[in-house]
Amino acid sequence: MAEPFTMAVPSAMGVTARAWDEQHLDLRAAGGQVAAAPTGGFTSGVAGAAARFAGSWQRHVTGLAATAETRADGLRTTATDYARTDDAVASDQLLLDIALREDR
Amino acid sequence: MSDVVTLPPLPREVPELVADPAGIREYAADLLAASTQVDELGSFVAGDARIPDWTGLGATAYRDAIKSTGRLADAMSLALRDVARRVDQHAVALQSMLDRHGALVDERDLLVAAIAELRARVAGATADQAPALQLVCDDCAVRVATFEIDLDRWITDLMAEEEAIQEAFARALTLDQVERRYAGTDDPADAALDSMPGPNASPRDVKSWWEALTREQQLAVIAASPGSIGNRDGIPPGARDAANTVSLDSDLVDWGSLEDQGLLTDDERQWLANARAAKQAISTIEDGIDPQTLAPVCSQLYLYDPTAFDGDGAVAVSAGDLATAHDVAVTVPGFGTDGQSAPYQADRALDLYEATRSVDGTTGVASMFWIGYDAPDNLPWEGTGWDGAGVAGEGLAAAGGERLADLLDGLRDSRDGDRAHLIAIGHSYGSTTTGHAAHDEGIPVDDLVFVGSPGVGGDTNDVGDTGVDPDHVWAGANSRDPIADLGNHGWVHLESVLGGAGLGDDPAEDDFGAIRFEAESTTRPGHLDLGQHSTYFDHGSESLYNLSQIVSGNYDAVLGADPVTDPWYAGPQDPEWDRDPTERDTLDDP
Amino acid sequence: MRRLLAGLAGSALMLSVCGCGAVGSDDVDPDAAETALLGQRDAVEQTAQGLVAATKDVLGGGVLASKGRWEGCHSRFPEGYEDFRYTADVRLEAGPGTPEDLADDLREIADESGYAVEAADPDPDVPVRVSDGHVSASLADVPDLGAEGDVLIRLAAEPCVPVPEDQWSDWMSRDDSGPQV
Repeated sequence: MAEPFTMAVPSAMGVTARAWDEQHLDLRAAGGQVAAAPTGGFTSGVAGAAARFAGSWQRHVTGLAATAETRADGLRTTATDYARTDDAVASDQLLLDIALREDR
Repeated sequence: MSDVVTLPPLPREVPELVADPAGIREYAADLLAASTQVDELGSFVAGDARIPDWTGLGATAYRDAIKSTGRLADAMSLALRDVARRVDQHAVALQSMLDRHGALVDERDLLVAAIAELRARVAGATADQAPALQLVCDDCAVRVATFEIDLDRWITDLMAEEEAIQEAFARALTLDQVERRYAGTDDPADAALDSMPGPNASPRDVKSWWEALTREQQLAVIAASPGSIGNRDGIPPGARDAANTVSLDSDLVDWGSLEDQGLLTDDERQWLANARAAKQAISTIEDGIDPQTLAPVCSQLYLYDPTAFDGDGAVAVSAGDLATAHDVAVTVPGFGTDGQSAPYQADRALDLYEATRSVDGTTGVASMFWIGYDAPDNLPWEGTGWDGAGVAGEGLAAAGGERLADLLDGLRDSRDGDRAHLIAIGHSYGSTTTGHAAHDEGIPVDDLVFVGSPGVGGDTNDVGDTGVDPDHVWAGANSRDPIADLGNHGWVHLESVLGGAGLGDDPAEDDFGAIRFEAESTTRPGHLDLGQHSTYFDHGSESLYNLSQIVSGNYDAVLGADPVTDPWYAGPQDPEWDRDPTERDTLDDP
Repeated sequence: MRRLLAGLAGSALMLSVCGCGAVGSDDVDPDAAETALLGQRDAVEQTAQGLVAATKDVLGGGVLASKGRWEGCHSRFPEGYEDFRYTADVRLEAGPGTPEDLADDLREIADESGYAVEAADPDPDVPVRVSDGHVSASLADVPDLGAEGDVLIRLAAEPCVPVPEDQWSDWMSRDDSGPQV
């Protein structure tokens, strides 16, 4: 016997997707902060290494941000598919749509 | 009276230190803030991201995927935090260095004033005042000696701290390194690196550490953290070459790919250019053919740091094997040299290698060019005019001298087997640097050669000040080379004319006492000509011929030349001016 | 007096560093330079092909490696070269049954090539030299000291061609696959 369909899981996915969005934005900002870290205070023998470190880490953190964004998008897609495979009523679909609206 | 009372020596200048601990702390703060954000991602993954009510294959796949993201985030956050902490410590260390710097400068000023006063007193003293004055001078000399020791200690501490912070950056640069170190996997490189001697260790200690590692550990370090050993004095040349080659190749790939995507920053563009120049230097040397065996010449990337000196870059490549060659020559270039000079310098180093190997009876040779110090960017001649204000003083040479001395010590101490015949060749401003290395630090070379020298440093007045056997101090000066003409000429001190631009005494002058060799070029015109400044390594030249004889230890074959003289009545006289230059056979083949 | 002489020294220096300099100043035609240097490459390739054919004829075997590049001749201040020429080297291995000492065979190869052969040097270790117009070449017997191959042919074009100042590093780094042999 099929389980009765509820909106709980897709709606939880929606919430979590928005949380991933936030992580994405925060991490992008953090990446920018690392890139802007000032190297002028170091001696000339070290400034280059400091700049290189900051540049690399800006990419690492931004990469993490991109992963968060992918997670968010993936969850939204999954939630939509998840809901469509079951018999959902229109009102539930509306609730789902609200729950899945992307927070940018 | 000055021939009865010995005045104390003048204390060395204190090198400049430009740093801002507050700025460094800001950098650390930015890293820490980012690490906090990354840490939050890790917590999110472990908690709210899990969606516990979701079950099934999709859910499992999702949780597995985010778990690895979480692991990475945790490791990244730890790494960033560690580095931020270390940078904070660096800020503290530099504040202390600045404080000590101030004290050293004050002490030096006092000493200089005291010595000036003593000089005046001695000049006007009578014979019976001499003994008392001598006592005062001796006291002062002791104070100067103490100052010199303190200065040495300060320089060593500064360089050690710079190396330590660079090591901290280098060990947490890639995600690979971060995951290995902070995500709990065992890596033979980590254990090895954790036992590596600190930056103050002697090259001998570093060598012992390296040789105590297993082969597996050595390979792991080379692969996982090449920056930790590639430029470390004491590490054997073969291992340095292996490590630096790994660094170079991965830099070319990483920055090359960013270039393809149009994502390079200005800094990175310059670093990539330095990396490409290093690669080209290596191929230039490997295109060479050994005159004796007719095999391709082998190369070693002994120093590689594309971001050094504000992006100018540091690089040193040898033609020949530094670990086993009997005759090892290190050439130090001059004005305008930076990372992108590498291909040209490689060509010169190869020419010297070929010429030396062409000398009968020569065994193994290694000829390395060393771009390992911050050379003056600007040339003292802008267009057609003399730019006295733009000339570099000796500061960069003094700083460079410290690095050169470290390099030469490390080269000596990292070798096994027979003691090498080690030769340092300073060209142009590189000769000022080499002169400083010899005088200020002492260098373990068998032969010391200056070519095209504008002066070998203000404190080095004759061969006795170099610490090298006077029969093994050599000078080559092309009579048409205006830069070789710049050294203080006896009583006409150009530094007083050109606003302190003098770089010391001319090693080709008779007062200096070096053995001068023929270094004229058949392309020379009838007047001073800047083009002649670069001819000392040309194939077929007298200079390259003589350099090759010195490097192979064939001293009797060196073609001597009379030194420059500077009589009070006539100004500098160069006997080489009128001699007809010759072509010499420097290559044993086509 | 000291100040006067010092002043004279200073101005003498100023006058002299405006010196004319040697070959290869800024008024060198870049197109002419490129044509000449690429032409040198073609000429060297042709000569190499002739010598390789003659070598294979006399000794059998084949080519192991072929490399070429433009080599700087005379330096300019502060770094770089003001003129270049094309050089190349081709490494061959001989067929089976070749004698240890190839001196006579190298002479034979030189004669067969049809190029002008230089008078033989009494020292057997000195390579055999030929020239073909503006290309000179040497054929050497590779000693048994670890290097690959049996015969090394080295070629160089003449004369050195002046290049514009801002192109010296392009010519130094210009990639070349070596003569097609």
